[in-house]
Amino acid sequence: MARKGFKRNFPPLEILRKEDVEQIKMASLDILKETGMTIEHKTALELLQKNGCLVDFDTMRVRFPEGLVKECLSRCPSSYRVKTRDEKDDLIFGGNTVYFHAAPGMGIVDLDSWSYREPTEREFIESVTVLDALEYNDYYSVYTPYFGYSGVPEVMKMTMGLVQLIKHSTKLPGAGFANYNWDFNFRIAKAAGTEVMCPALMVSSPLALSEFAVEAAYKTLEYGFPCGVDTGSVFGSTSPATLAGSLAEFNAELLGCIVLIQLIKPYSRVFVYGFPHSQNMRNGAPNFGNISNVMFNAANNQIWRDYGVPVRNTASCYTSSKKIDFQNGMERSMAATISALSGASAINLHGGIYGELTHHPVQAILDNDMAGMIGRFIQGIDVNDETLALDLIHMVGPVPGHFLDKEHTFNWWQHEQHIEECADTMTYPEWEREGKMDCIDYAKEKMKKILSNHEVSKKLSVEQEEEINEIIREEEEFYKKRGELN
Amino acid sequence: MEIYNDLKNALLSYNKKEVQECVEKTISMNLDANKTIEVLSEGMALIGDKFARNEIFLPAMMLAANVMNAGMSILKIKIEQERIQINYRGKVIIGTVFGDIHDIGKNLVKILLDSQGFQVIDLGVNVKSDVFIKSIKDNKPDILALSALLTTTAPEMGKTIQAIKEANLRDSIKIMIGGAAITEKFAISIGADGYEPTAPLAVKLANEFVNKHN
Repeated sequence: MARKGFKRNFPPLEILRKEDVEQIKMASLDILKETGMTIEHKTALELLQKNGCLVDFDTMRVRFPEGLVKECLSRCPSSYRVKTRDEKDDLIFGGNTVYFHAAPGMGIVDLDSWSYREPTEREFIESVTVLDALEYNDYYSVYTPYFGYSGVPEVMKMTMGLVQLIKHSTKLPGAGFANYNWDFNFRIAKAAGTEVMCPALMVSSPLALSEFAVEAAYKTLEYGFPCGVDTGSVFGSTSPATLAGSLAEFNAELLGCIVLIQLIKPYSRVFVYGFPHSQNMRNGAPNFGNISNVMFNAANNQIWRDYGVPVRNTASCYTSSKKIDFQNGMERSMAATISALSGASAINLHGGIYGELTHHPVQAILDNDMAGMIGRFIQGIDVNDETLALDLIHMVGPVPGHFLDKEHTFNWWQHEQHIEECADTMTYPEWEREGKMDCIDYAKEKMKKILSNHEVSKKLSVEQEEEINEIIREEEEFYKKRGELN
Repeated sequence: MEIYNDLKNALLSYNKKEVQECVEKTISMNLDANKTIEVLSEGMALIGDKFARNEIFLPAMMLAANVMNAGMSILKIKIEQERIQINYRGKVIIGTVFGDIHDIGKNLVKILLDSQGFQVIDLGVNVKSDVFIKSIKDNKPDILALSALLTTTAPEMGKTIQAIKEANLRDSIKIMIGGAAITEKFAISIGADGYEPTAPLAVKLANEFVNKHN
């Protein structure tokens, strides 16, 4: 048993010609061979040198031979299972399966003023409860739904967030790193009986890996969890302004990470992350929602499908809009749809609004409808004797014949249509009579319903809670000794 | 009676074969045909309630009607043989007014009225007022249901109602109107008795008309 996600039942969208794909791949190998990457980790440098890389220990620069890159790439499983604390929520990444998952925000937005602030503990738990209940939210990104909640010391926020996530949901949690918290977070996950998804090996674009990122990867692999490789090119500032150039550099960074992972622990489960965005040339921020991000993802998906490594796309969960409005819907629906069509294995969607700054459960509820619509689209059109309904068409004949009362209609219409739960689908007069409600009103109603009815499918045992509390105490002691906690 | 419970449950589970078997059993038991129709109508009313509570959708309601009709087709032989008078919920004349050939909405209302036990006389599309008047005189309906999609043809509904008044037939019938461009305000302005924005609500309105009437 595992979460099904959606299956894309037709060939994926290809934005690049075959020769373009090859040219970008060659360029990436050239970047790794000629310029290489800076890797600020002595043990990793020694390992890379031992396996044939050219390493300059003074500058920490590593140049990768083409054969090693290809060998390490071939060690990446193209499909694998990730376990959760309730088997029904396990995930099987790879193939033509597409999962949607929740996106983080540093704060919760106010749905009237659209300002944001740190959520309370109650708001944090409510958001997790909503995400646990939503059918098409398959798992969680790191720091999801929020980076933490009020009343918790800064250094403990990420850990306490993870604990709440694990307590109130059985879906796969994401684990982020800060202040050397990895041992504690991984031990908490183990105590709860779940794996975690973490973008451990996070590139500082262009072409650099910090000691912290490499250490996080070593720890992730030591605990036996899937290891995410992540980079965040910003086109025009940390990578070339051209999409082709950014793709070549982005790709090189990910390949360099994969070499390191497969040398540390061969045949490890690897997941390709990425936070690619164009540069807003007026204010210097990432240009969330820009169409070039969507195009980049489509090309990146095509390249990594070719390599056979599952990819996650981010552009769909972040918009430049600060509100739940038309711009927000336009940007995220286009990004998520193109990601699904072009072969992403996972799409970051539910709840994120602006950048990684804001999240709201009402947005997540609306995103769930969007995920359902996209999922229905990629499942495609079944063409067979039953769906062609030729006998039925002959039987019904011309007017006054009709199909509304036929068993075939009863059996098939819900399969063919996706019924959105929060879209306003009333006729105009009904809408006026019923108080002119819109999708946000319906999402708010659904949120209330979830919060009054939903319970997590499997609670932590008393022993698990005690073990987790002990780990929290140890972490607090750790930070006290470091002078980071009073 | 157990057979009536079985019949109702078969209808509620959309089981055509079981409904037909139950109806055959009522015939072999020589039970009152109108009582059998009443049980089927009660089942349809329960289905209608589910629809009103958004628990089921149109295809389920229509399939139930189809299943009911499958039972009725067996009963009809007995009814004809024994010349039994059927107790319809009411009689409705329906049509799209002159100048307008749109009939999806009108047909939906007709199908739903049929399924709820109304006798429906469908005059089709592009129906002139004198055709409506002749049909009212010939059939003596409880309700006249007028349909128009276009804003340009909606005024024809007012003209039809005026012609019915002039023919001294207005007080004998309830008139309901419908169509995408119709509003409650418009319905009142042309002297209609009622308007609803959707086909299922139109059937509810028809039921209200005949309940008051009866």
